[in-house]
Amino acid sequence: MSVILLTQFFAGALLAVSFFSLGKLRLPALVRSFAIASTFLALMMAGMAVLRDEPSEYLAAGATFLFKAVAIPIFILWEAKKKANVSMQLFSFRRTATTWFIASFVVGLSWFLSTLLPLHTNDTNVSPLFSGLLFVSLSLIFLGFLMMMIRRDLFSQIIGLLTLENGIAAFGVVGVGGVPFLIEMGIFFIIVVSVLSLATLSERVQELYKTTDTNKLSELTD
Amino acid sequence: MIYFLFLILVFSTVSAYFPWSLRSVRQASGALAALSFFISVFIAFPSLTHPTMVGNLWYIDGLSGLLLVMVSFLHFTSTIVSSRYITVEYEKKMIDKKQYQLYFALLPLFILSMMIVLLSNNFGIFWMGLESTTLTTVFLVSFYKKDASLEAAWKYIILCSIGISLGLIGIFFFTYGGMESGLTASEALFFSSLKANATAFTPEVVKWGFLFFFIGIGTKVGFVPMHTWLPDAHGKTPSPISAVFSGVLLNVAFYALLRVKGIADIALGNGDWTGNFFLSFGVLSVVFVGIMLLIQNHYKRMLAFSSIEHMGLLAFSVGLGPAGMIPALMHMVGHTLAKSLLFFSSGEVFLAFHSTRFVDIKGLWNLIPKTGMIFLLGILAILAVPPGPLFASEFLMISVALKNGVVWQTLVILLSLTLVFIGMMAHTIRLLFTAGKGVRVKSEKYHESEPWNSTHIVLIVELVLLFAFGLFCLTPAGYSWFESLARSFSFTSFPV
Repeated sequence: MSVILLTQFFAGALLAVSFFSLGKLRLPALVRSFAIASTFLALMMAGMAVLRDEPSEYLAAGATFLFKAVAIPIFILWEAKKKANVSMQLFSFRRTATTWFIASFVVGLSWFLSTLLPLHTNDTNVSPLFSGLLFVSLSLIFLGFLMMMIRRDLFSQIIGLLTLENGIAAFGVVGVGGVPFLIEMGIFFIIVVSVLSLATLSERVQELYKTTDTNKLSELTD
Repeated sequence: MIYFLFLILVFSTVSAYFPWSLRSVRQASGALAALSFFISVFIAFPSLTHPTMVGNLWYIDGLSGLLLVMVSFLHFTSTIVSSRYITVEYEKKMIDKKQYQLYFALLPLFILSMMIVLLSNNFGIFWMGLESTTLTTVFLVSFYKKDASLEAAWKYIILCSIGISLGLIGIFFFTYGGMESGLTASEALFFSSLKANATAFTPEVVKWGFLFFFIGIGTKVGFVPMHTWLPDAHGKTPSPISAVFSGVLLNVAFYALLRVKGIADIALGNGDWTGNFFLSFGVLSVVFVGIMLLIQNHYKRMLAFSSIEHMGLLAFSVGLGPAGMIPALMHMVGHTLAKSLLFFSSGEVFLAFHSTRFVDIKGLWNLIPKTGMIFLLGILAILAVPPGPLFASEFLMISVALKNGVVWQTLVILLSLTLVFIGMMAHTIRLLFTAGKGVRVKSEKYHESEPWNSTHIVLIVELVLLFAFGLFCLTPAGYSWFESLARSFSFTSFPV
């Protein structure tokens, strides 16, 4: 099977898993979906590394798998399970079917936006994939936004932010390609510290309110 | 010297956890803050006349040099104020030893993040510095671990992280543009390379990149409607940190926008397209705040909304074109001095009354008259009453706007500033002069009259600097100095 087809498959699977994760209403299922999506992202990045013949992109793919598919999901679940009385049930403003309906529009919007962007590639190895991967990366960014808006709990907002970051990482790989390795690692470090900070804050919110429902965080309004 | 400056700040962070007394923690912080201020002045001074590259990674010019001095000055003053503020809270058992150490560890780290943004020539390091300003301060926003603090911290980290992530998309667009013009991916991450090659960028790519970057980093600046985190975060964090937030963090984020605007303007041939963004968001921010300031119940939130207004004015001024940079630079410096003064003095009010609500403050003018007087003078300065520097900058802004034919937006701004004046003066009079039996928290260190303390010394120094700077701005020499600074930063032709 050619590398191009495999990379397209991984990109499609990444989008599909991220799309359906919007309907997951239990934390372990949501985190698992995110881990699977990140695995497909890492595989897509590895495919692009093969096509571009860029060694640094292999390292970026490996770091993506290590941090986003393994370390961060394990850490989030460990943080959540620290509080024995916290429910694994997540909250949403809309039912699952409605959420997927809205997500379909969002994906359509992403397709439309991807056709407007003045980006292209001169690399003949990558050009068959370019527009498709651009569409996938924009979809992930908007699906991440949607998850943060439509879900009512702290952990969904963290996963939504991470989905958004996955989209940006995919956009960077597609649009720019070889970002210097040190910068790539710096960006990973920042993402890891963000997740640690969010998890610590969510632990404090759980201690105070005994729930992860973000409706409790509504004292400060004008 | 730059690496030595960074090392001092890292050492200051680490020294908060040395096995010595809390008194030693704050003394070490103060001494290192003073040292970093002097080194910053030493680094920045030559750049005021000519830009300097330090290796490939670091670049300093007039604007970044000026901001570097402002950041380190505020680091120094906020450390002095914090030494008293945090110690009083510790003695009143409002915080514990761990929080005390955390505070003095995170403050220099926060300052370091801002300095990295100001000095970086590399877009990737620049972005990491911006995101680090959020991550190093989220636990300062949630410092008191109460419900409202946690809510403020959650909003802060989520919204600012989203914003800075959108900024990263903008950076990727500019990098793509650089690669299209012949740069490698590594070279296209350097500001100097992008600036040199900008004329070869595709305009559409630059426009999309600037759009993402402006919306993203504009969230960090606090432009309406991306501002919702700002009043909460600035209102709930300890007052010395609020001073640094409003005084320099917003300026640093604004500086990031200016840096990218410069490259975009070269690529597009003029500053009109990017200027429209600044004008629109500037006017919107000032109008919104003009309305919001009429209905405030907390004095720290009032000051935070005022910061949004001043960022709006900065944006409006920059949107007027190269000539608008002169009042914008004056305004930046004036706002830093005035707003930090106000937040430092609001800290004294909080220590005395343990509340940020207007309804809980009674008899302030009688109980803490020194603080009250300084607060009143600070409010007059922030409302652009002469001889404050903001009078000079706003007067100049309006002059440039009318000269450039920007009439109806200017009228809207003037109307909004009138509302701002009414709102803030009404609240200030209520805060300072509401009669009643004072409910000031008693402490054996308080006498019948308010004692002088280290915070008052900082406030007096800032007040003197503020009004001296205000007078300087009104002189031909002051105008010429800012004009030369603006010219050195203008990437398109400057009006003669």
